[in-house]
Amino acid sequence: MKNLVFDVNVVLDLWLERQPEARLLQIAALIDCQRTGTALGWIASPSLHVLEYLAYRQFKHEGADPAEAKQTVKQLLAKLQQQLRPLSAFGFQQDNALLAQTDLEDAQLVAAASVLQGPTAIVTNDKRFATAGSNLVQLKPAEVADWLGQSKPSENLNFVDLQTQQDAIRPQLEQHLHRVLEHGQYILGPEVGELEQRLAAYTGARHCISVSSGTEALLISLMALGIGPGDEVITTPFTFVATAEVIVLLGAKPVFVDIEPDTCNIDATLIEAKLSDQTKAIMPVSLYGQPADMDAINVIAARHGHLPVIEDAAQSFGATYKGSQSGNLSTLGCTSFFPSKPLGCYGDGGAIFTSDDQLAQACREIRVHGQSARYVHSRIGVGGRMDSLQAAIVLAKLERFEHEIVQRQAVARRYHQLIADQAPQVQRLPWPKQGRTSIFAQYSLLTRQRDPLQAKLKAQGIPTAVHYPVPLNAQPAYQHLCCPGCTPVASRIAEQVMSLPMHPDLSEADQHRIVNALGEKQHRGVASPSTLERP
Amino acid sequence: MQIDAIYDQGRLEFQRPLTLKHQRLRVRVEIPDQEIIEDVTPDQGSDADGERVLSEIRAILGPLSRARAPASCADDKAALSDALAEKYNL
Repeated sequence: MKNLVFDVNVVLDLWLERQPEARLLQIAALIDCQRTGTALGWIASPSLHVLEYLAYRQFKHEGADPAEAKQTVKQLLAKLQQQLRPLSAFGFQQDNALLAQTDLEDAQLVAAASVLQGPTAIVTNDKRFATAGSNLVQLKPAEVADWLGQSKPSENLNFVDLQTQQDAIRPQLEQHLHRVLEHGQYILGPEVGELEQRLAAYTGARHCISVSSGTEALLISLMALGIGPGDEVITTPFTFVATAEVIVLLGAKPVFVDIEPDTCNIDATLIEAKLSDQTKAIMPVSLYGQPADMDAINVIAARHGHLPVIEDAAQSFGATYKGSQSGNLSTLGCTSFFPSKPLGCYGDGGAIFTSDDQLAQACREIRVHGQSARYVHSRIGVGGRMDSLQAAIVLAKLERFEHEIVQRQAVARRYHQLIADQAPQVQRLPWPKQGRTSIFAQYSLLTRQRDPLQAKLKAQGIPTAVHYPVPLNAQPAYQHLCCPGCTPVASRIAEQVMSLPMHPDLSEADQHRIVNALGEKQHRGVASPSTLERP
Repeated sequence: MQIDAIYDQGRLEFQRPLTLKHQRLRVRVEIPDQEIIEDVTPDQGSDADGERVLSEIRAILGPLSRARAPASCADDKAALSDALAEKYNL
């Protein structure tokens, strides 16, 4: 979304009614841009006192009672803060170069606006700002509508767009991050507790234990279950390596079960054949954002001595399975806050969910070196705490998360339709199964011509990714555990799968560009389109 | 657990006493479909939006609302100097 930063002169025109009625209506509609969803509207904080002085002076010079004039100005400022977001002027920006500018107020506005990531315009009547060297544009109010309507195609698309998201949550980000800087509790500070409380409430799990990464969430969960040497853990070979890595790290053995061709998640119907006396847990992965068939998996686990089930929900936090939230579908659920995840931080972070009090306590102790009381180490643990700054970032993102879920699903639905219409030679993965929603951490499809297709898209500035090119049982470090031929579906999907740019702010125009590139004739794709779609 | 509640202008009132551990928590609410008004699609800042915002400003201004002469940015800069001079008795 584009940003509009309003100059004092324009706001004063509205407040002091210094323009013809039609112009006032135009400015008023622009200032309402945030509510109407047309742009993110900002007022630079150095502009606020200027507005206050000028409006107050005007009213006072017209003979208004000073107290009433002051009160009116306060109300106007309060209304403005509801309409526009405050744009910070940071201390570090007030350097010598800025102080040397002819007009400090204007220079401060430009410096403040320059931190915004998306296309940004200063809305001004005289375009006097020194914006050389920045990406800022200057527009008169009458020019804004055209600029907002322009969709300038960027040369290179982002696979994941964290910049637009950052503009959208900047006020909350600054507030949460500065709160940590103020209280100084960088480890297990109040943000960590607040985040755990809010995420537990979100999932419906009784406990949320934040940890230092998604990998650590898996490791700590297995440790809490007492998984160790000689044990076996049933899992999928078609996942990020962390899923199996943590099993091996504890001396246990990952037992790979092939995947479903439609969801790319572990095939529950194949699990029982792989169970043994050594099986101590089942670890399905809810890949690409769609939960695995957790009911079926839980039933198998219950039938075989109540085996614990750990859902690796690193890609699926925010998705649902029969009305319940991913992460709270089994004994334990683990998620990741890696920056590119649907709910990410700006570093590493993760969380464990469980409604088992004893497991929750074990997880809490293990993440702090097995400490049950200060310097009392009741069990072997790790240094696995999530830091307060990362928790602060997730808290800020959480405020937009529901909106982003809806947007991700809308983007995925549009991909699904566009590809069916314009690129039938590539095979879509079927729409999420009945009773499940996907958060669409990835939008993935299948093609037998992956390498040339990726090269063609790259040449047009369209990034793609492969999740994942090699099943874990074909990886050098794991191939002794299970023959690649034992999981033929995973092997086939790994050869063909390809992910397209996916994020909640992906525009319809960019999606058309991507699918047009996909559908260009010189490329021949694969297999017949799936018949399982339910867009 | 499930509990009946009455929605009244933005507030939910439980129909029986309940003591909660936290001041703020997530709940799932079932709203009858017939009670929902479809969202209006965001537009490009219509006249109606402008009129609403302008009338809100004028309501705040009250008797101070009146048409005034245009002022340039340079006029505003000069006025700011005067305002600061007044404030600091320069």
